[in-house]
Amino acid sequence: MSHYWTSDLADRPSFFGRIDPRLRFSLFLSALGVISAARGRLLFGATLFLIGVMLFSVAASAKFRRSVLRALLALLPFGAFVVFLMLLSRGTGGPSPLLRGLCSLILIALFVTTMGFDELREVLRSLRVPSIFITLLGFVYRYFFLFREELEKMDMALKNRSFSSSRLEGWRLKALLIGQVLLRSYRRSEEVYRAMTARGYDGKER
Amino acid sequence: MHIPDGFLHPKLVALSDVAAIGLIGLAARKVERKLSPERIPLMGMLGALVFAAQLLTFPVVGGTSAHLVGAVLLAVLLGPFSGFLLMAAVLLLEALLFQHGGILAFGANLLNMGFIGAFGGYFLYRAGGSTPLSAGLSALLTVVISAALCALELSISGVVSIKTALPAMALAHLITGAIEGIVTFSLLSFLVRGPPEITGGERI
Repeated sequence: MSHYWTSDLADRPSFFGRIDPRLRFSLFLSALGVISAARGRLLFGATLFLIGVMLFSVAASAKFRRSVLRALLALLPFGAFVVFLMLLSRGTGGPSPLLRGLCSLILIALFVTTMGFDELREVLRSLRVPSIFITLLGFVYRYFFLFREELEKMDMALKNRSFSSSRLEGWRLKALLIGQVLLRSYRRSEEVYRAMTARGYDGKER
Repeated sequence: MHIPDGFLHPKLVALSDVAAIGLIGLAARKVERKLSPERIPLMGMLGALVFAAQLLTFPVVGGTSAHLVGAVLLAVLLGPFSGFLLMAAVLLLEALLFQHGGILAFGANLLNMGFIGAFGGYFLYRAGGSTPLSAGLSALLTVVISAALCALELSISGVVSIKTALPAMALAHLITGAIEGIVTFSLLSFLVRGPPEITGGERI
């Protein structure tokens, strides 16, 4: 599985790839923990270090470049809103939350590029995460790309063929569009279940 | 409303993560025990659909747009525990794939959107007579409550002051909540005319 999961580095033999996935996961969480609690010089140093790592990785991998760009864009709306609120509520905050947010996003982008989705599921299984949750995570991940494509195509068709100028009517039409895909997904889920039981599925993830 | 890592106080992060993990365990046990296996693919697909539908934008004014959260919709179709569990899967994937919301802040985000949306939304839906209209209204309310909670968490963490954050977040999310309400109402009104198993299936 590659899709959005930027597992190109995870699939290649690399220094990170040789580290046990559970250890990699623990190191990632620990690094996030340290960043979340960092203040002052430690935070400033960590930001400079991670920006350096990010620039090096961006130069080395095109997929990582996209991943980092997506991460930075994700911080933008929330970050901008919080900065706006900080400016309104003088005397609180400061730049530390934004720096910690930036560092964490770089770390998450690094983590996602060095750990494949199936590896992550293995790690969650070893951490005794309930199997139903891992099964659902797998389903959501697999079918997300399919539904996204279907919805995007239908949304484009709706935009091209709709003559309604009312915003409210536009929202209602989009809701119906989701409803159509939902009805289709219901029929599809019955077929998927039959195919799964034919391959020995009994409701438990192994 | 998706809080990234680094914005909340470490103690609040730890507390919300512990609460979220406990709730995931509880919901998983309940769903695993009671749900028939043939509903699992449907659950997964509905989760994937809500996740994909979150990427559809609903234009508001002046180039701004809002998107669906879908927690109330999932809770109404599948039940609060199933809806909560699916929201946990969706929010975790959202954090990893699109970096919408943090990994350590996952607990806070799940409590704000998943818990309030699935449990609070389902309670309000039932209290309102279990109609598409009550689902729409509870979707509106839960979005605003979630935004208010987010503001409260940010102010407890010392990032912003509650006096400015609470009205700003609640007002900004009133529009998002209205869209969530209209979409949830329209969708459920459409689905009640479909196969009865969809809206009348087992809810856990």
